[in-house]
Amino acid sequence: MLGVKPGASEEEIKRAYRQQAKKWHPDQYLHTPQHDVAVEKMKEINAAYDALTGKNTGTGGPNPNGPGYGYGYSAGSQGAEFSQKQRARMFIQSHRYKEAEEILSKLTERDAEWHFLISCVYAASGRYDSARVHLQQAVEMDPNNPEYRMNWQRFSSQGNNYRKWTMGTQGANPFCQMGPGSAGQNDAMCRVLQCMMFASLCRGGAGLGCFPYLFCC
Amino acid sequence: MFGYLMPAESELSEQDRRVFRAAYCGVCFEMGRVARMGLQFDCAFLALARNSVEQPAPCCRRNCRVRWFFRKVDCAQGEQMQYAADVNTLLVYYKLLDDVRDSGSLKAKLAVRLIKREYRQAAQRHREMDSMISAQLQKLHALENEKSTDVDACADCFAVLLQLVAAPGGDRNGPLGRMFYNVGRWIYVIDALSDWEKDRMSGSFNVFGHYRDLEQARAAASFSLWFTLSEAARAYEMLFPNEAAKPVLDNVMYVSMPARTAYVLGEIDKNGQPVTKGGGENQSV
Repeated sequence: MLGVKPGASEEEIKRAYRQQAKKWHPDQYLHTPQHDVAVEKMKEINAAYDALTGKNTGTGGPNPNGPGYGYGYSAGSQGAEFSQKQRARMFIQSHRYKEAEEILSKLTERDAEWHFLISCVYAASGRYDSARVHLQQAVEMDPNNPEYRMNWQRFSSQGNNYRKWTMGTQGANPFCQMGPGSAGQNDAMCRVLQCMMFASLCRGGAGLGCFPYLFCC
Repeated sequence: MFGYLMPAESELSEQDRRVFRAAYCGVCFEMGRVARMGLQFDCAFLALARNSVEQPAPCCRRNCRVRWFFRKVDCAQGEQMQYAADVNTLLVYYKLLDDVRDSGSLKAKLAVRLIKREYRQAAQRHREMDSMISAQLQKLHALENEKSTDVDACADCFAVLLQLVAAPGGDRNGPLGRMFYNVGRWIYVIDALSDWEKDRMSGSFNVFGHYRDLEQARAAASFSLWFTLSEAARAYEMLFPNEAAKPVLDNVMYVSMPARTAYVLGEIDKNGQPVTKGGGENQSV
């Protein structure tokens, strides 16, 4: 993928990685048909680089396929002394979100990178709404950062793409005849009866079509 | 649960319908007499999803326990059915407890009395799950009591509940666990949104209750719903279900749930036709 020979030095790998990353960075292909290809390529390049340098060993961690984040570009993580933010970033890369959140919550300086990192943590732990807010904040504070912009674009379009895809493929109406009840009239009757019984049992006679909802509100 | 996880029948072949029915009847068969009245499609889906990573469950023909005078039905057998039946029993019990706490009506109290024995049996088989469910629900209840508007926090309680129910033990971050985490999150949000008007009338708690009208609530929930669903689908793609269960699970994940989402968000009407709002936007449905 990176085009380096076996046994290449770290410098060579790094150079090759930068070259490839520059070539395939998805930001260059924004609004062009090659964008998806570039995103895929970039992922492969990152994976190859990580494999060669032995980084990201934590892929067996808790959320290996969690909301995908970060096409590398770990800005300045080669520095000798790691700042707290870089530590948080490393924790995120190795899927240790709890630790990352702990570090981030202690920081008082809330710049664009902070918002970006906390949004990574939130997205991975299922708090999608907060993740979105913080990611948006990061993009607003630093609109020129390709990392934030790319993730923002991906994050905000994923659900929409899914919607378009699913709602586009299905032609017929999924709402008529839902549930196994419609397999035969007897079954439908049975279902309705059960429904009524339970509904009156626990809700004081909710409507027929209304299933007994649990717990909520 | 809520009756949200059911396949859209019209899109299923006869064979696939039979698979889902067998799972449903299998779960039904394993349940106690009282708890059976609270049987939900969701638990049939749970059984099917949990079973889908193994061999297809063996089927046998049995007398239907609800309509024993009627005819025989196909029942899927296996520990997954038993498991899903116990899950359902526990959930129904806690739901009824919740009702008693909220309304204190005589009917609910009576129902709790009736179901108590079956609940104890199920809880005895799954002690950890029982305490987990009650802990998550207590967390949720505390949030509701303080009138939280934090959708993430509220939905997380229910999402974790489903995650741990679907994938107990160490594999909670496997495909199944992540899928059900997102499914649970989706269920909570969509249930809150579809109950919005009712809750407004009755004055009961709703996470979106602080929005002034339904359109605002829908706009606030839209991103969350679609994103959660796409995450669930991403996890589902890692699941590799067996041949028999795949069409049914596909149907739920790719047809039924998106359609339900679009319906609750007011994008399509009950017949699956796109709703045209004043501006005349015709979406690709």
